[in-house]
Amino acid sequence: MALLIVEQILNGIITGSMYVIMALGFSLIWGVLGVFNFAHGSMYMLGAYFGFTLIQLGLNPFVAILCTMVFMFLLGILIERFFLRPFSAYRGSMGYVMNCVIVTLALAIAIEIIILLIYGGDFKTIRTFAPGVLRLGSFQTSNQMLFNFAVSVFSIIAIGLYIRYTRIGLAMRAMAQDPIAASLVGISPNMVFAVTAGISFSLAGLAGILLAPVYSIYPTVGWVAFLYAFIVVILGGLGNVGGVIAAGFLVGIIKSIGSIWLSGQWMMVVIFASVILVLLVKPRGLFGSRVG
Amino acid sequence: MKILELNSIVVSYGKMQILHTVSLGLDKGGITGIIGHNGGGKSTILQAISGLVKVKAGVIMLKGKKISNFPPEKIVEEGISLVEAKRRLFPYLSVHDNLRIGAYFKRAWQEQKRNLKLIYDLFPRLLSLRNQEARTLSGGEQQMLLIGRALMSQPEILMLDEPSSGLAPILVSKVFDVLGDIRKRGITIFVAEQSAAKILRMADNAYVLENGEIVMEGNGQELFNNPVVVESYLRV
Repeated sequence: MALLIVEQILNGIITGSMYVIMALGFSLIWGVLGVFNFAHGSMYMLGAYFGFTLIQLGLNPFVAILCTMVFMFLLGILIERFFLRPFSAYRGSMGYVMNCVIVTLALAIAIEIIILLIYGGDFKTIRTFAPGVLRLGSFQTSNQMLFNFAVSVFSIIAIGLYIRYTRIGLAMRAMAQDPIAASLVGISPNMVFAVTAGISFSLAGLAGILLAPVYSIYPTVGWVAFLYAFIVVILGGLGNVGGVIAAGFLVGIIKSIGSIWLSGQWMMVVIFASVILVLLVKPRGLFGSRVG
Repeated sequence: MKILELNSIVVSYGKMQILHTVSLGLDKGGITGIIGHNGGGKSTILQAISGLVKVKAGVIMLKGKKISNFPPEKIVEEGISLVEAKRRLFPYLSVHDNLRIGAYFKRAWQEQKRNLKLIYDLFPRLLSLRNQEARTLSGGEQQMLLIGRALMSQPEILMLDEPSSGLAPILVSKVFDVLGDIRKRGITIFVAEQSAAKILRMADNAYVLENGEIVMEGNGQELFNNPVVVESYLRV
């Protein structure tokens, strides 16, 4: 039994890395821009479809992943510039929050319909990037998931270092903590917003393409990812990058251990119930919110 | 020519007029003070210069160039830094990171290491606190951090809004000593203070602001000795 739990913890860490990737982008855009991005799941979905298209065209999976991330980064910059920045002057007011919800929700729906028209509603599949399975004693995991784990951990470390040590990364943290102080120190929101949106969409797209061989691809696939991103961010604490990383792995582990006894649907109930419980005890998330 | 000039500035919050055609000027390299009772508009003047508040009429000129209504980031770029009365630190950033972000501009970012050393020399206490999160600092330490952060952008003009507020007298003296050191480095200083005695003793030039209007101006020492000023602002 203990062995089973250990194996599930390992599985949980692997799937948890994916949750972190999904949630990190969502947390960054919320913390830095103050935008609740309802279109976050759509970016996951776009990543999956874009990757699918590139691979259909014969591209090597690694190249496809890189291209997808670059494409999503640019898309993030564009969407921030034309759909989010016009409202940023109102940041801090209740109207701003509503505005962003409406705009991003509209974007999400529009993108979904466009994809539906282009690709149709049927489930698409991609062949796995790394065929085969790893077996260590009774522990078993697909090479695809191991590949995903490696890419995710690498990305998490890269983003973490970027935010911690670079000028723009520092500016992102400052903007999330106090936007007025940030402008008094000379930080122009434009550059910071653009980079943050780019990173956010890029990470969502990465999650999309990495999981495309694991689950199928269909126009509404992004909403489950969005749900998980939301849960992890709430648990981890708004704007708290370290918290989100910890919470992502935690959710992965809880899900994996829980799945020993419970089916998929019940797991969702358990996870949601846990989130509500956590918020009752610690309203700012498990690790505390870093945004004022 | 004054390094900074305000000509007939009008500022309103909605229908309420805060500043009624205020005109003043800062001499380069000097310390200029502005005193007056609370609610008179001292903070508003500093905020207008910084771009935090819109100027309805009149012009703000920096070395002859019009800078009225520039966004706050641009004002910092032009060389004017503000230390607000409301202590806006980045609470979860370390002291060290708070200072570093003060040098956000590419120009100042390259000089970061050198300026950090200067700031730590000016405020040795901050050096020992450098890895602590800013929100854990005491009031006096936070004030030091804010001044240090403002200096990291290499401003020509440093503005301070109520630097002595909430500080014990010994710390207030320390702050004003530091201002003297800063002035020695050639930086022009503009201070809005409710505690008139401290600033008038140091200021080369000072203004008295009441209800959004300049009612008196002159040399700091003169105003300090002026019976009207003594009666209204120097009697505790």
